[in-house]
Amino acid sequence: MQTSEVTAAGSPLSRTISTLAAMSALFGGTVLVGLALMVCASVALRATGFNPIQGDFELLQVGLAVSVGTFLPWCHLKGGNVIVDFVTARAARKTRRRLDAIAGILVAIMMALVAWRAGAGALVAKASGEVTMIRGFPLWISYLLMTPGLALTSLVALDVSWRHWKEATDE
Amino acid sequence: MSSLQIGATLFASMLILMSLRVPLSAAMFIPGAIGYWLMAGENSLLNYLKGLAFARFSVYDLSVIPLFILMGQFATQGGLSRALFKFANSLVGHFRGGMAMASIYACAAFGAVCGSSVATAATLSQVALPEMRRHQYSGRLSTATLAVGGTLGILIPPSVPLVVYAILTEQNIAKLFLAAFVPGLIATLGYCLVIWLVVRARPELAPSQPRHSAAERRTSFIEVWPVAAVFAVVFGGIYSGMFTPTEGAAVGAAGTFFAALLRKELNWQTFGRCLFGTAETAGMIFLIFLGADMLNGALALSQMPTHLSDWVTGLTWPPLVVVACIIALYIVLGFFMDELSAIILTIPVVFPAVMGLDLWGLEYSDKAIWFGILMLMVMQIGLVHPPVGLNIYIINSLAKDVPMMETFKGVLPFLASDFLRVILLFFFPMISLWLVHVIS
Repeated sequence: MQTSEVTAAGSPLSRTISTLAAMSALFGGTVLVGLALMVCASVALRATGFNPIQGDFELLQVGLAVSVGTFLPWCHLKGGNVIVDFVTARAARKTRRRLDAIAGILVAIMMALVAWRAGAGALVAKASGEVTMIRGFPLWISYLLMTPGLALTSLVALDVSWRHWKEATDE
Repeated sequence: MSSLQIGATLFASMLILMSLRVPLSAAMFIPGAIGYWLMAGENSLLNYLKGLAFARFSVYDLSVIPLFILMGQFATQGGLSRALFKFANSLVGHFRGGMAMASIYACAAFGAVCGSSVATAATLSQVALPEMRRHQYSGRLSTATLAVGGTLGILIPPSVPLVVYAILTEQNIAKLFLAAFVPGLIATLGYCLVIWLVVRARPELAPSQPRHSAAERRTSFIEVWPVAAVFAVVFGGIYSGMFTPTEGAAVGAAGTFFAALLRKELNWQTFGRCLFGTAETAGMIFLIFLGADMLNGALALSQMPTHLSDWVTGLTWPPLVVVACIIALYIVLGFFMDELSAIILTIPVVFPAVMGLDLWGLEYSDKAIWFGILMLMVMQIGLVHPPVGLNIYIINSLAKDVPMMETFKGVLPFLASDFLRVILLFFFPMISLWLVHVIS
């Protein structure tokens, strides 16, 4: 297993996309830390005989969907979307970069499809008025909050793919 | 086409995409989506996709994964590995090969607050590698020790791969963690035994160093208490029933966060590094889940898993031979792809088949735990064996002066102890199960 982090410097647009991915990951990470502290507070309250935070596990569930969604663009950008470098290990660097570029387009298609359907899911959830059991938090909001991360991953994949292609032609 | 043919076509397409450097998530997702579309039509596919991401990302049990990753990140950035290595070294460093053994013990202790092998290998290498090299330990012994030591990060609970297995098979995470303890200790002792044997045969690999004073031991002991405290609270809480594993992971993340703060290792920069590290690792696992869910959706539609399971249970081979073959297959699969992905992809198909067999007369949940621990061992071996072994690449990037081939050679004696352990756990299920039975 190997990662294939892109090294070519990007255009201003690339840099904007990378910054967005970084901000997205930091946002999701902060949400995750917040969730961890919330759960701790709830556990501490329960252990000391008070009432725990109401619907704490629901909050965790909803918050987690959001935070994981925001992690994906950064993960792909850093080459965390694992590839298998077994067959192509001895191929020329140029060939590998070309293949990475084509593969990136497939990832972009996948993530665009998933983002689009998650967005559609949000509309369905809104129309049906689905809410969480204890706190009555509307589910469509967390579907919706998940969508930008998924869509951004698709953009990141396109950008990384383009940079791989450029790396191959520049050499 | 028959269901087995459909299944085989899907797998073959995945393997072709994979070998052309398509990320595993997409290599699973795209054949899965196309297969689903051809079998059930466009509308069903679009409907299936609507809930796919949310259903997977918002499962309560899965929240344990990013939380345990976060916990490990804080432990890594908090410099806990340095404290552990110093303490272990003050205890056993004066033996021949003692510094390598100290690395193994420190890895095991770090594994008790970190569920990832890559994080364990990387953080301990930064501390122990320069020390071992400074004391004229051979490059091969140093890098190999840290590569296998890193795998204790997943062998000793908490363990992210074990959580993944528990979720895929709907087993109790707390029980699986308990079951991993004794095998994890056996692994630790096994590695130390290997070091002892290696340096006995070739003393020049590891020169001895003077004994540490009692005062040094005391001061270095004081620094390791945060690790012990976090571990005790997390597992004490889980096993006393005070909280669920997910809550335990949250408490652990907060615990290592405060430990890092106390050690004054945490500033905005390292805090950011923890968040980015968590995003990368958690993102990787969830992307694989996304792809595997799509492919498994298509496989389920083709009814291939049911047919395969019927076929396996209908085999006239002894059940234990079947399981041994499955384990061997996973090890071979590990030559081509990363084990965690292999397991996420195949467990939904393989697990029901294995559970249909009569194995040592075990009950269903015992059987699931025993098989889970064996799967964990298989994943662990995959991290250090050539040609893909991820840990070796990690260490190699940190120890530029030791060629990768040297590390692979150094790992071989340790691999022997790994295989022996798999055989031991295979033939004596009670090694994994007794602690589970005693505590629950």
